[in-house]
Amino acid sequence: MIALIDCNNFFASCEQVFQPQLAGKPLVVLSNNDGNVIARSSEAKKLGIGMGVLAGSVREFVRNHELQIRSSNYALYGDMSSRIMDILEELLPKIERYSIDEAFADVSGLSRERLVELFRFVRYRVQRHTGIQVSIGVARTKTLAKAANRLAKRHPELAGVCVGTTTESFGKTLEQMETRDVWGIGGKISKKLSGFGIDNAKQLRDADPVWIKKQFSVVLMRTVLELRGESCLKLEEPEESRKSLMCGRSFGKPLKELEDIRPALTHFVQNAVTRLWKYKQATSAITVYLSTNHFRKNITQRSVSASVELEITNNLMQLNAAAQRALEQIFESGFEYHKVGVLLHDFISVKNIPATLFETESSIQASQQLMGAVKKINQKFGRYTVASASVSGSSDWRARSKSRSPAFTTCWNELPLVRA
Amino acid sequence: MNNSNPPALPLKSDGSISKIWFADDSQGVELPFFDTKVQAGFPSPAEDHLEQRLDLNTLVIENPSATFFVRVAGESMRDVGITDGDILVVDRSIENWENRVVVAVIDSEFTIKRFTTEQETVILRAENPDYPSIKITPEMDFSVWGVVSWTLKKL
Repeated sequence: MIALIDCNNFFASCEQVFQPQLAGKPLVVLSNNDGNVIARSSEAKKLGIGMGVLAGSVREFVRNHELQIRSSNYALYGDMSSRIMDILEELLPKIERYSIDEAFADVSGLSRERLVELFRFVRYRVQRHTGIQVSIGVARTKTLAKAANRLAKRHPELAGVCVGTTTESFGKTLEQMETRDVWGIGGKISKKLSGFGIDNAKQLRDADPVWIKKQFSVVLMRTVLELRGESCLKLEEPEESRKSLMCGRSFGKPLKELEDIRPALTHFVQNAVTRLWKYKQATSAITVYLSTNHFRKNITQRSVSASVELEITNNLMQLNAAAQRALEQIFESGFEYHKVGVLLHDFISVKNIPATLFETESSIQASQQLMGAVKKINQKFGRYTVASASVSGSSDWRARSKSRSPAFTTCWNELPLVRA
Repeated sequence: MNNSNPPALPLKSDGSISKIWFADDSQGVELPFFDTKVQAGFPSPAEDHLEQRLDLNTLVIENPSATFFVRVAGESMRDVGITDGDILVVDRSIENWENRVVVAVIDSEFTIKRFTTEQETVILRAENPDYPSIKITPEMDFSVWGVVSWTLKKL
């Protein structure tokens, strides 16, 4: 059996835990640059505010319904996510961190009653320890667990836990589920399915898998099998086995000069290398990409990237120098750039580095110590107190985030204030 | 930790130094934590007792995923040593609230008080005679956020 544990309205809930005045109120969280709505409290959902709508379009709700708005606060969400994942790892035998607010767990060999009991406890524990509510769906496959999770969210009488041990028990649920709501199916495929008269998940389940494979893909065929209770998607390996990672984001406003883009790139390299260390990996290749805003039709578009091969390293200074060289190669003036990012790939686990590479090992040790010190200082005095020199300088690239709440759990200067 | 050879200092016949090499620390070797030297004499009696230095986290944080820090504003808990500006360690995993100092939420606001019950009624007590205690009534929106386990005070 596979369980999907999903945090309810995660970003909005994180805000509410530390700002009790927001509890029970309509609240939305905006994307980087305060562009779109990316999270809604259940009260905001009830007002009919859609996912992804432009920030500007919710103003009327601020006036008439006291809608609260927050810029995204990833320092807070990231920390709360890792607390929740730690709790899940403590209580469950095997989990896969699927996204910032979702995890799969493999829980074979338990009766239905025991599963309900176990996950009621998991749900209680996460809520008590972190203040975040989760919903849990349990079924024979990931795809069905996702469907069960939907039920757990929609039916309050289930108290957040829905266990479907038999495949038959999903018949009615799947009938009431549009294909686009099935895990892994996007709008495009959903439309194409409709063309063949397949409108709901039950019809998809009963479609001929071979035909589906021919008309669509092997991926969709797996979905069909999963809906039938045949597990095709196993729990993914943990992060240590990952082979690449990416860090990048759009700017607060378009940038035209190389010297304005450098600090943004340095910042992303710094984030990427921090994560590289967390996963205990070193890298031997780095790619930098740079692009204009494709949504702006009236400007000349440009999208370029360059890669640099390196000797295995996880040294921030080395990687940043390589990234800056790549940026110089691809930069050309005369464009309004919108986004820069960095991709680290060809990972090798630090513990697998051949013993003959002593030099590498010592440079890794030195950079580990340096990264450790940088991390400590930033925690004490606020993010970006210490950074590679090219971060300082222009800060035009920084995301607009006018109403970001404090980093309540990761910065000593921003702790929640409590009246005594 | 690097285990490198001392730099060579070739002396000229007149005693002056001709060249200095820097220590080559590129070939670092991790030494085991219990670093025992082979000695002919009496072994150091401290060797068996080498341990990690004390880490404050292990003392004040029992349950890391449920532990949060908050900063105090106000003097209502002065007599138990909690004063304005202190940092409190709050453990949300502690479920026995009776007679503990808690962070509570009353009508959407955080407050720190001592949690007590009298005939099924919750009374949040201040620890300073200048401040009133708060009797929790059914119409109040009330919850316990976490239990205060330590206070960190800068002197």
